[in-house]
Amino acid sequence: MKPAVLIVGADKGGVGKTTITRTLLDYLVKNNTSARAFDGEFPRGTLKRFHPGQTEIVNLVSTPDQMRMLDTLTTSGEKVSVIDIRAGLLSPTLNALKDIGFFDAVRNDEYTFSLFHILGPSVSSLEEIGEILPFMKGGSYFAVKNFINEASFFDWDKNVYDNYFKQAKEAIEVNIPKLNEMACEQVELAGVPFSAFIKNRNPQGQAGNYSLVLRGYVKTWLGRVFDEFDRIGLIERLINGPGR
Amino acid sequence: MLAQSLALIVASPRPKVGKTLLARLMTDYFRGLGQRPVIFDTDTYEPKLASFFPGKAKVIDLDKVPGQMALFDRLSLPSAETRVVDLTHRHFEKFFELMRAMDFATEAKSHAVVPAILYIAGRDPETYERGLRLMREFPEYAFVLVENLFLGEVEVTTRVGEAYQTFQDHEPHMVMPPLEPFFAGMIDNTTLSLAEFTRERPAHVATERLPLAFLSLEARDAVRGWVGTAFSEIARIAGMLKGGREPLPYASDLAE
Repeated sequence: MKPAVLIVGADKGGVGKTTITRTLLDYLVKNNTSARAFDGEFPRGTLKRFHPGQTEIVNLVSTPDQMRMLDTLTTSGEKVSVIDIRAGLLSPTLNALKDIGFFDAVRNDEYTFSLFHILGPSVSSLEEIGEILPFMKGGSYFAVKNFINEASFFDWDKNVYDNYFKQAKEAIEVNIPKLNEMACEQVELAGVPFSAFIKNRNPQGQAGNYSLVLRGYVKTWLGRVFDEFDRIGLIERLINGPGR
Repeated sequence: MLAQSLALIVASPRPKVGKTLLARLMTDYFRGLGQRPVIFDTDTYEPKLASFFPGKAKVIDLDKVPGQMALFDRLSLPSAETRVVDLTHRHFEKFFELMRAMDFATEAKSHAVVPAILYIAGRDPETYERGLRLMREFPEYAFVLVENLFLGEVEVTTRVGEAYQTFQDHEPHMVMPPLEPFFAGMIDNTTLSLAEFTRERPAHVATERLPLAFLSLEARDAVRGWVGTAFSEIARIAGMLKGGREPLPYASDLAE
């Protein structure tokens, strides 16, 4: 198969990019699709704390780091490269990829490209859609509405919302359901993948001491997230592209 | 290997079928054996079980996550303690939905906890049908069908129903003996341990100082007989669940 690049990003911060990247990495494991991840939260890293074995922290605007990600797509042996983009760097990163010629390679079927664009509950977040669409030719554009943190999230004016989406006919809407706050918090503290939390494993792989109830909430929630990824045919799109 | 411990869940979708009474009987039974069962009262509006065991029962709000954690995390804990849950009919569906979502059965099994549903059937056909569905939804749990004879005969339509028929051959099948309504009011005393009734006192202890002194001799005998029968049933069922024989409280006193 062609190497797949899956970018998770938003220009706004605090919309849950890393949380969603974590669900994606769990999902790929469940579907026997090998993946590596790049954590754009340079230099501190957020994703790496949860998935240390498969994650590298990268500075997205540095050329050597861009080379580390892109020049190794074919040679790394991993089917999917997931890149968690730091807040504010989505457009600059896409521009850099364009300059490198990455999107030409996508159009030439050398790679598949997908973008998980995480939308926040504001109009400015919707305005990003227009900036990003020009990069999406030949790729899969997922507009992700993240309900994880807020119960009443996307209750803006429906007309406003529809207007922004009109320009993005190719957009595939993805809804990430709400996760109970206490469960969310305990996983944060645990610092393990969601799948490990459900199995009550600590970062060392030994039995953890997590609440059975909260594990139950995470299990139910992750199941629903996976159902959503199944619905949008994520694996198929990563492997074969959007299918023109 | 961990010793097996019981998580006894007294449940019914119907109110007023004797859930709290059975939970109380079981608690007094285990306390009579010198154990310290952990007890949960899930009725936050009217925590009746808790009123019998002040400071010892945990009142649980199943609508809130901290309450769910206080209940299920303790219920699945790998420890020898017996656990008794008095599940209010208001949270009947929610409780089992949560158990399914968290896959309680797997956790319990890995911790040598034996979950048992003590399902008190009402007199109507639906209650047996719901019980049958519940039993099939949770095949990993021990399912004890409880008939409370205090409620009287089942309805005629119940008797001909398939679910009722299916349960006729079901084991474990527990019977709560009937108690004259006149005496039933007397055991509502919250300071009274039911195990006390089965205890024989040496003759030299002054009768007026016994905890049961406020009851007439006749009442004491009636209640004693009822408690004795109920405890025998609980001992039999607990024995079946743990795969052995469970003793009766104060059995050694009686032997002396």
